[in-house]
Amino acid sequence: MENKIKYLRVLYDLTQDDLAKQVGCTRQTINAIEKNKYSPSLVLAFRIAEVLKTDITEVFSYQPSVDHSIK
Amino acid sequence: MNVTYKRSIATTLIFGTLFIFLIVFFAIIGPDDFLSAKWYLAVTSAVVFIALMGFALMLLLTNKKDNIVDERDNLIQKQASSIGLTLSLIYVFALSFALFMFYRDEGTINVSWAWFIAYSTFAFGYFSTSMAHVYLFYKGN
Repeated sequence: MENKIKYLRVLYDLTQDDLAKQVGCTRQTINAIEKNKYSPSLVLAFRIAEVLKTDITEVFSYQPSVDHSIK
Repeated sequence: MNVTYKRSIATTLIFGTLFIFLIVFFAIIGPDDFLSAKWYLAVTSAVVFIALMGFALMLLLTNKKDNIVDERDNLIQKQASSIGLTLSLIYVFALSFALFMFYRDEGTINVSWAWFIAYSTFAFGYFSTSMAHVYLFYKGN
């Protein structure tokens, strides 16, 4: 899963700490999400998108490497 | 550095020191003499008490209203608890089995070993869990 949190955060002139405080998590968690080391829960993902005034699909994107579709 | 990370570092130091003390103290006196003098038990009980008081004081000092413990902290805590439990089981199994192999020909074992297994497992459990927490937290950043 990839995300544009860093890009959007800089766009709105927010630090990792600012964003963390607004969404109710730690700065380390925002850092881990930005570096794709941690996938947030849906609730946290929605909160981040809300603070960044963007749709969740704009912030997070998922490119499946394997085709999981039922044939 | 958030509060759970700070607490894990402090817990690692407190219970790591206690674990090492128990091993060294027990090794110096030896299982055969450990129960013969009451001051040995008094000293170890005092050290265990100081460690527990230090742990309680640390929890009290780091307990602030603005502490944030989020979902990633909880996930790391769960993983660390799982690792700590596994390591503790391995520790108890390995120590008990080593004692069995060592004393099997004698058929008896000094009861002071039971004291050592109980207290050292307690210290090792906290130590290994907090150590795993520190490692997982460090690895994830």
